[in-house]
Amino acid sequence: MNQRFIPLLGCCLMLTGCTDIRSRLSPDVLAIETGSTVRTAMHATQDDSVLTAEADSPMLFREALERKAGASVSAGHLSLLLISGNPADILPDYLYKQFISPTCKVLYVPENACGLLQSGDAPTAGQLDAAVSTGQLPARTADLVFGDLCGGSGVSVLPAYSGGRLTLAAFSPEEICGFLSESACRGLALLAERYETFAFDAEGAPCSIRSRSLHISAEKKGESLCFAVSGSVRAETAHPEAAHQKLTEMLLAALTETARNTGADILFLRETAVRNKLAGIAGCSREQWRSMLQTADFCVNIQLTA
Amino acid sequence: MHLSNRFRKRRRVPVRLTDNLEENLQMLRQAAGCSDDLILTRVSLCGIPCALLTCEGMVSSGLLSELVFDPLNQMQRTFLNGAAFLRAVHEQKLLAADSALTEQSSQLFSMLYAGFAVLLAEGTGTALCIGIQGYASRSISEPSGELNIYGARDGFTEPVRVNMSLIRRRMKSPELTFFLLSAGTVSGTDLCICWLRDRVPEDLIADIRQKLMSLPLETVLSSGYVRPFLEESDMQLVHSIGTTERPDILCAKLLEGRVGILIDGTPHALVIPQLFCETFQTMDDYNYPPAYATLLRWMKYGAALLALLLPAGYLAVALWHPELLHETLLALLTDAEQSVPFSPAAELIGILFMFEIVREAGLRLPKAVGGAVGMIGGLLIGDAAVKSGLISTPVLTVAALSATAGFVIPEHHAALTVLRPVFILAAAAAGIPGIALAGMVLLYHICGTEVFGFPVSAPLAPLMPHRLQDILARVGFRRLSQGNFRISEVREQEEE
Amino acid sequence: MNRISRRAPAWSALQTASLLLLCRLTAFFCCDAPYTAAYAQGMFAAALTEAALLLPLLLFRKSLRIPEPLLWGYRFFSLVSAAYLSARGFRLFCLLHLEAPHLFAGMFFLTLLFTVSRTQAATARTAVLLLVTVSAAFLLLPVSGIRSAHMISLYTSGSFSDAFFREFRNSPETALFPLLITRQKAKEQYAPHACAVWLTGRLVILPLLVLFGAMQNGRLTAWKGSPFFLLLARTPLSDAIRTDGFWMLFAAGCSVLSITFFLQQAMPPFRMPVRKLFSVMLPYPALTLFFLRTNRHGTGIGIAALSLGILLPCMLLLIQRIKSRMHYRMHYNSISERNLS
Repeated sequence: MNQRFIPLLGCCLMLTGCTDIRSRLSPDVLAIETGSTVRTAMHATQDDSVLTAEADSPMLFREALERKAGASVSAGHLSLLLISGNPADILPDYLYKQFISPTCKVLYVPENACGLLQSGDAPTAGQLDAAVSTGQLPARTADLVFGDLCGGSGVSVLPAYSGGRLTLAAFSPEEICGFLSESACRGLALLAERYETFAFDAEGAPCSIRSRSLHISAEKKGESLCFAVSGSVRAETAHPEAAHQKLTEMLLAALTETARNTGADILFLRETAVRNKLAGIAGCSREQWRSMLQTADFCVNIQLTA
Repeated sequence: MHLSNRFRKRRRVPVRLTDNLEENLQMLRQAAGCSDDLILTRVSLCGIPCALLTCEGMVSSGLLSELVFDPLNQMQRTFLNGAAFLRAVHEQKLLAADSALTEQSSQLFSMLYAGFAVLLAEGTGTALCIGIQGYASRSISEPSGELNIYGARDGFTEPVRVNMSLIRRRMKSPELTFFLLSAGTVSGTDLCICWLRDRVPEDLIADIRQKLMSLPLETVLSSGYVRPFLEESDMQLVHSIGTTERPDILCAKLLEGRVGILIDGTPHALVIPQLFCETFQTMDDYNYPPAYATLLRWMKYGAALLALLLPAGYLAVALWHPELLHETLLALLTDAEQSVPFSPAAELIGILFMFEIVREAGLRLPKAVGGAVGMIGGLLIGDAAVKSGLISTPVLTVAALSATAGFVIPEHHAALTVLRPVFILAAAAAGIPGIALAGMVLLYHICGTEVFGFPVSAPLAPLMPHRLQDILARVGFRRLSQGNFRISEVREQEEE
Repeated sequence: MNRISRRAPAWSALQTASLLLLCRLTAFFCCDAPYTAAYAQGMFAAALTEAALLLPLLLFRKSLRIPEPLLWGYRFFSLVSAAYLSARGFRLFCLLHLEAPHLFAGMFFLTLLFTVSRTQAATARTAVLLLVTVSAAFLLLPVSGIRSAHMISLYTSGSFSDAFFREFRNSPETALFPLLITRQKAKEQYAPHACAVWLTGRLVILPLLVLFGAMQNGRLTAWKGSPFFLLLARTPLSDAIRTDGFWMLFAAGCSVLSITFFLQQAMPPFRMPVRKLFSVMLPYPALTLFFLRTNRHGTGIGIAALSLGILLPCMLLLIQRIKSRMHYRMHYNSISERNLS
């Protein structure tokens, strides 16, 4: 009886030690540049240096880096992915092949992402987190961005680093649609509810939001759709009127710059329309929804309590 | 002693005694191989030639003179023959509580070597056996293997009759039944089945009795000789029959409708059946406040999981799923592993093997030396091995934690020692899914183990929600006593 | 074997329901269906339909007799279902990017050989334990993910009909209901209880889980691989999709158990010799697999040949034993007939 298990044990012994913890690099930041040549760079948790390599395609970044480093690369600890090129070409495959975690942060860099990482000027994941917690940007992880590409209108928005500052960029599978204004970024952050403090300047006096209860509703006016943001905001400010105006500007900019200008639906406007039982929304295609958004009306009706 | 010799069957052929005393004595002496521990005293009582046979060191000399010599010497009557004399002694004289007449040499020897004095007389083929046992034995003391803080301090000792008295002292119910039988064709070891008649089904007792009576052993030296013949498989890692050194625990088990087996010559009683969950329970649990006892119980479950899964989990995470670790921890592990020449799997198996060697060395040596060996071994492994770079500190920590956690449940030490390397190999081969597969094999093994129709995985599988109050928690005695647990419920539940 | 244990233990209602639910859970872990509110509705409707179909079966269970050809049909169906679940399970583990999927496949195979050789009672008991553990673990999900769930995601478009039909495809175990509810005809409450527990799981727990998943996963409905693991990745319990080790334990466990269940249902009546054959076979496929995997084909084939060489006498011995037992039975029957006459 025991003898038959001896080969089994031997077999298991032979199978062990297939990988080794010592020869593995875990990047926390990865940069990918697509174009005629694909360049990739990574910053490993194990040391401070940045490793760069050229790959035949974005999917072969790992092999290229492994050849350069002489060690295996495991992307499980990746917290920030810098992309130069259209993120729609990279993100789906990276998520499907599980090179990156769905909750990994993605940052669009218009050009030379690898160089930025090498120079040490690239924003860190911590800086992105700080931007989210102070209400500068909405939280946008890889899965959220990819979700917008799958559903909604097929246009998404992701954090971008342009001109030395953090902002948002809209993109579709075909092209990069453009960058959003600071006001729109803040409006989106306010609607996304992921901030810890939200403060802004209202006519020279600081305004800090203590609590808010905002919701979006949709209705059909004739042939076009109308989305309205309503609710109340409690804030500490010396100039309530100025703060109210500024907030209204931010929210309106968020809606118009995403939905009307680029056709991006990151505020679940389609789901809102379905919830409000507007006919013909659930079954329409992404392209149809995008064009409907671009002709939609937006209004903001909020109350500010100081 | 070679096992094959020990287990070989050899049966004594019974011979009837004759009417001739000399012939009988000659035959008995020859059958005993003229053994020097057989003491023969010839005497003439009431004019009839008699012989008294005793075994050296097995009878009490005080009782012998008090209960046998004095009354027999005082007898003044005359008898027709030896048969009448023995009958009169047996029926009219109250020599001992335990006396019997026999005509078979085999039975005579059994009783003689069990500490009886045997009286033979001229003119009769019958011998009178008088129970005056008085051999030296260890006194009742606290069991070393099952220490308790609040429970009783007495434990089983070697003579089976003393152990029977320890149980009877705690249970004065007439339902408590003892059934003595002898096992081992050479040793004729006394075994005692004890149970409460109103709580144990007759067929279970019949099955146990039949199995014990047909034990293919020449001798029974400990409970480990008997247990495999009652369990269903030789490959069981989880015992379906428990052992205990404590009479209070055995009494508690008997109350639940279980069957106990006492074995002469060993202080370990067998309990049939033992459920897997019960191996995490101790007598002290019922003396502590329920909240503390529940916490302790969960700590034990956690310790068992830690002892089994920590080395495998560490290996799986380090080799296959480093994403599970925080960056700082990963860097720490990588740094520690850099200077070690072996793979983490080899390191872990090596260190656990070393640990077992040190443990075994400390266990078998005399207490004073054993402690020193343990200390030197600990120092060697803990300090020198790390300093020399043969083993990394995280691996040592993991192995030490796992080994220490294993001591919390001494019942499972053997199983854990065997299973730990198996889980390590599974983790090294396929990471966490590998552990899952090994876990499934173990779960199947536990759930598939049963004894006399009782699944050891009860009351979790089959699920008995109302019995989980003593498994997931230890509720207060008021609630525990509301529905007394009977082990027969397990079999009934399985069939519902 | 003693008198008591010789009696084959019958499954309890809870054990039967647990087995059925675990089979469904395996498909749930492995299938790549989108998590939407419409999908949850579809699941609910499909479970209701299945329950309605089972109703006449429940009513006439006492007079139900399954003819031998139909039994063989069920056996074949069980075998196909086991193969289907194996393929799904293996695909899931491939999608999780195990570094050595072949190694895992080998171990999976070995585990199955072991579990199939155990008794059906062991499978049933393990099912209860596993289901209780999985259900307890499910409770962690809402606790950990309630902050990141959005009600608005419930309005993400999804296909009700797709869910409805997919549900039938992913619950092959339901087809075995006639076999299972006739296991204990004597017990009046067995079949209704089993159905009640099974229905609770199907109508309440699974749709609720999908609803929660829909609130978590938002628009990410087009996902290759198990959306369940995506759901886990989005809850704060863990950060990376392939590192949900805790749930990988359950996925592998449920796969093993459900495949074992189907294989045991598929086993022909002479179980003991097959079981013996399985246990004798254990190490050889693993060794063969290892050598073939490491491109040492000659050694692999050599070991396969060796195992065949060892197994052949074993099989002959088994056949001989079966024959002699049959001969003994015939002889015994003829003697008893003679005695009776």
